Amino acid sequence: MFKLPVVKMLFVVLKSLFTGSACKMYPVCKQEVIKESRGFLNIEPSLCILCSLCSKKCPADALVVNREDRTWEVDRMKCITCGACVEACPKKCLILLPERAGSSIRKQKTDQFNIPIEKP
Amino acid sequence: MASRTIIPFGPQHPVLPEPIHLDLVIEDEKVIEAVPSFGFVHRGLELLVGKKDFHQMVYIAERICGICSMIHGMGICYGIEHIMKIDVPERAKYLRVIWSEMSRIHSHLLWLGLAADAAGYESLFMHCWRIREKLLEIIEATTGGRVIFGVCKVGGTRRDIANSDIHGILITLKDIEKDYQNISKVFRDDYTINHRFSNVGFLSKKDAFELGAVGPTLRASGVSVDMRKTGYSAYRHLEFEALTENSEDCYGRCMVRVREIFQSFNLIYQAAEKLPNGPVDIKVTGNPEGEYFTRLEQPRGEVVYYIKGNGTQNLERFRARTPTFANIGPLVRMLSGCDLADVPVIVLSIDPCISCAER
Amino acid sequence: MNMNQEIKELKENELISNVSRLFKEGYRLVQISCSKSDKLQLDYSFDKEYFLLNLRLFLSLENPEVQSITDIYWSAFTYENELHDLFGIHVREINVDFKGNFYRIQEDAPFLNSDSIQHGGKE
Repeated sequence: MFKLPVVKMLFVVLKSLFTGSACKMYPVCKQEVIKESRGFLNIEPSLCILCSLCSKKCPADALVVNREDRTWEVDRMKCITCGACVEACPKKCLILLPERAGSSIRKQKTDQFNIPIEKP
Repeated sequence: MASRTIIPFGPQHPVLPEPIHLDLVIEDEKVIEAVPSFGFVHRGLELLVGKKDFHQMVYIAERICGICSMIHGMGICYGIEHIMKIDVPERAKYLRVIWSEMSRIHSHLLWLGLAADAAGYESLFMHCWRIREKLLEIIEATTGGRVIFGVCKVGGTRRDIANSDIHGILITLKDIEKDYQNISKVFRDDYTINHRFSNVGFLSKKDAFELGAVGPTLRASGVSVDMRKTGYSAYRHLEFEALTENSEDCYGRCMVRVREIFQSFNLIYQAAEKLPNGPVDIKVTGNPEGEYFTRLEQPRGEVVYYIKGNGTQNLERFRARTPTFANIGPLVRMLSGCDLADVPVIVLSIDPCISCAER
Repeated sequence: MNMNQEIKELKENELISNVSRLFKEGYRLVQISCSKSDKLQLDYSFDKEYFLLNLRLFLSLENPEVQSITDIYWSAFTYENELHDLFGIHVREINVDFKGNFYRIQEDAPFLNSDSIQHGGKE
């Protein structure tokens, strides 16, 4: 009886009939976030020393560091979340969070951070 | 003589995940000639070597194509390491093998899903992708990306898999393999799939070799060529055979991929068992000077990178000849003489990855 | 390391005879590539039992021209059309000549004048 290919397929079909749906009702059930995922670049402004190593290492030219205005800028639509900047940062003030950066209807979506003047 | 018609096929077509255009010269229902043309997703990535240094090029090479990303990254790293005579730590070599075999499994599962869809099996397509999803979760948990792995760097790997995690990963992989076992039976024995793929897209052994076909397209014609046999990375320590089929048609190509998934599972188990302890990367100083042709085996076949460094931060030339590009010639040969209704299946059978081919 | 490879430099007129000899010896065409420096460097790669043999040609930057090998290796037309479309190399007697329409790109020979990457990519 197991020689018949239809029977073999029937097992797969029956199994999925009883195990229930493999999909999630997405907006109702939240998607589980995998901790190690590279999702969203974030900065801790108080630690940053504006060395601009991150913008030099960035393969997508998504980071702009302005020493005079003391700002650190990331273009979310250009950022490829590779993590090169995180590895380059000497102060460890950059971090990749597992959550995804949100979507945008514009081609440019820049997040600007003001870096406070460090206290001696 | 029947009159000839030219039917455009693509760039948008249900079987094509990516845009390629074929002009099919039709006489009655037979295709006399197929003329391919490219350029819908040409990005000129190779020229970016002039603007980005060689560490950044690894990220760019990974983004040539989503599905093949791991091995693209590994290929450029491997070439630069060879030029700079860097000895990569053993653990990194084994980790690269584990990840590239995972990418092979998920690429082949994706293809099997598309093949099932082309044969009219929509729920089988869903099943293949359901299994693939479990694997993508492992990949995301170990590398941080679902399809863009981003773990290779010049001198080793950027992430490590902790020894304590490996046991859990192997258990999940064995579950996936068991699940896949049931589904592979459908591809192997099912009447409809057998009839849809058999004797379609015939490519003889002699033709396949002379036209320079690569990967499953070549191996399904009975030629045993598998670049993993050259023993790059840790493949020299692992036991496997290049899988071949002798049916020389689309069914053979499907079967090669069905069997290669089992082989990849086996390679991951072997590599995990032999995984040595130690560091995963070494510090790289200096710039590459010299040239090298790297040849690796991608899910779709042999890929060739030509890397030439001139002693500066920027490489002088980076060229990737991807498997789909090599398979275009054989595809054109397969298409001439086939039925119009078989064209989608034949185009699908080489596993076309156009963003790879155009770069 | 058993990834053997060898590079052999050739004159332009020796190409066809060498390629047809390799075809008879059972080599598989792996790729044809081009690199630009002060000259154009063409690499014809062939494989036999995991041994990679490269035939290397040098062409001048002005009006580069080369004989097609598609009489010997039929499928080489993809590579040769690529050479024409990206590097502007004129390939003589090619079997399927797309006349610059293989890649549908805006400019002629963008890789030959590689300054052309400076524009484009922006909104």
